[in-house]
Order: sequence, then structure tokens, then C-alpha cells
Amino acid sequence: MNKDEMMRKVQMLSFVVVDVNLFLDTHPNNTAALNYYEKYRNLYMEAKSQYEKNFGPLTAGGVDIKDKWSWIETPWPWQWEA
Amino acid sequence: MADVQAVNAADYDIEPYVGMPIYFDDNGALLGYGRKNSCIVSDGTTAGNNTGNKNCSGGMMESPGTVRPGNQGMQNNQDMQNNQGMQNNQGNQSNQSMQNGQSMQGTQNNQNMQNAQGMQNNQGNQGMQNNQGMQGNQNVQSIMCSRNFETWPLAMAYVPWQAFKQTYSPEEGFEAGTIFPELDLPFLGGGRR
Repeated sequence: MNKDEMMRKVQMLSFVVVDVNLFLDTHPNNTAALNYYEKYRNLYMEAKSQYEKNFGPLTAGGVDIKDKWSWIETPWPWQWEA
Repeated sequence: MADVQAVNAADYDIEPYVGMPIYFDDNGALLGYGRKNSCIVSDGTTAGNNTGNKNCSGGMMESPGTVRPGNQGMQNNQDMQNNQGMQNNQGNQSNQSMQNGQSMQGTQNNQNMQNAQGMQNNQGNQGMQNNQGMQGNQNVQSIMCSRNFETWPLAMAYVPWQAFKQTYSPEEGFEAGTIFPELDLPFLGGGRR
């Protein structure tokens, strides 16, 4: 999976997590939705960490702390290509 | 107008449901009950739930205050079953049978109950009672078919409770903007078109 594909996967899973989050806000005891949330949150975190391992941190919180601050190595928003 | 009344549903051949609006005239006689059909769209240009709603298409073109000739004094139960008969409820209030709550309950209104068209008109009527210009039910219809919500009768609203069912795949959900197929609906808002 290339960088774009992996990014899209992260975005899709992130969206699923947010959407079921909204459902749970009004149905906090719904077991099916809770299970669903757990499943997709794990998938999301897995995809996110996969992406970050290969292509750098998505958020500053995803910086892999070794000897330097890798957050500034990936492009800033204004440096992205259209 | 009576404030609150206890109604024995069996007396009126009513099938009640929670939140069901019930309408009375000034004498406490039952005018009607139940919900009107959806009549959200004013000009008939957008279908929505309006499809097949004869009340909208029939009533909305008429100007306020119109009373159709020939309907004055209409007391016949048969006539009261349809829109024509219901048009002049306001106009009929001065006639004898309308002043008598008992006879209303016993005769005309039971007839009215059989007809959704009549009920809708009654609902409209209730809201328009203080409006001098609005005499006929057709005109009430025209008000309710307008977008000027200030002229609408008060109503009750409800939102169905969503259940957790089969969801879209992440791919489908991402494209649709929701993972819930039941919420994947066309956007029909945006004002007049």
C-alpha cells in the first residue's frame, strides 16, 4: 500500500470511529455499537501507527521519540503539493 | 376554546396514540383528531412527502377569505365528509347545530372522523380561529401549505430513535458521509428551487 492509499485508509477508519462515536453519544449502552466502536478504533489506531511508521507522524503526538523531533521533517501544510 | 378535556376515545371511535392531537370547537365538541399529512412544501414544486397530498394541491391556490358559493349552511353529514363540506366550518359556527356541542359530538363529528381530509382541515381550523380573514378550511390549507410558519397551527414533533443496524463498509461510509445507510439520504433543503 502506498502513502496515499494508506492515508485514505486512515481517513476512512477515522471517519467510521467518529460516526459511531456520535451514535454512542445518544446510545451509550448499545452493545452492538460499543463492539463496533472497539473494533474500528483498533483498526484505526493500527492503520495510523502503520502510516506513521512508514511515512512520518500524522500529528505531533505520533512522533517516534528517538534522538530528534521528527515532527518538523514532514512538510508543513503550506508546503504540500496540490 | 376549551382548555383541557378528558376524552373517552371509545365515545368517538378513536384509535389514540401517544401525542395524538385532538381538536375541539368553542363548545367543547370534538372537531377532529390525528395528524395531518405532511404539508411541508408550499408551492408543490418539490415532491417530498407531498406526493399525493390532495389537500396541498387543492387548497393552496385559493386566496384567504374565499368562501365557495353553495356551501353556506351545509349541514348534511354526507357533505361534511369531504373537503367541500369542511370548507365552511368557520362560516357555519353561527348555525344552530354548530352551537350545540352535544349534537356535534353525536352526529357531524363522528362522520368527520372517518375522513382524513376532514381531520386535516379541522387541525388547521383550530389554529386559525382568531384570524378574521381565514374563514374556510381550504384557506387554512393554503396557510399550512405556505412557508410562513408563523401562520401555522402549533404542532407536536417527534424524531424516530435510531437503532444500530448494518453499517456501510468504511469505504462506502467515507463516500456517503455516514456509516449508517438509514441516514444516507438525499439533501432536499436549500430553499426554493
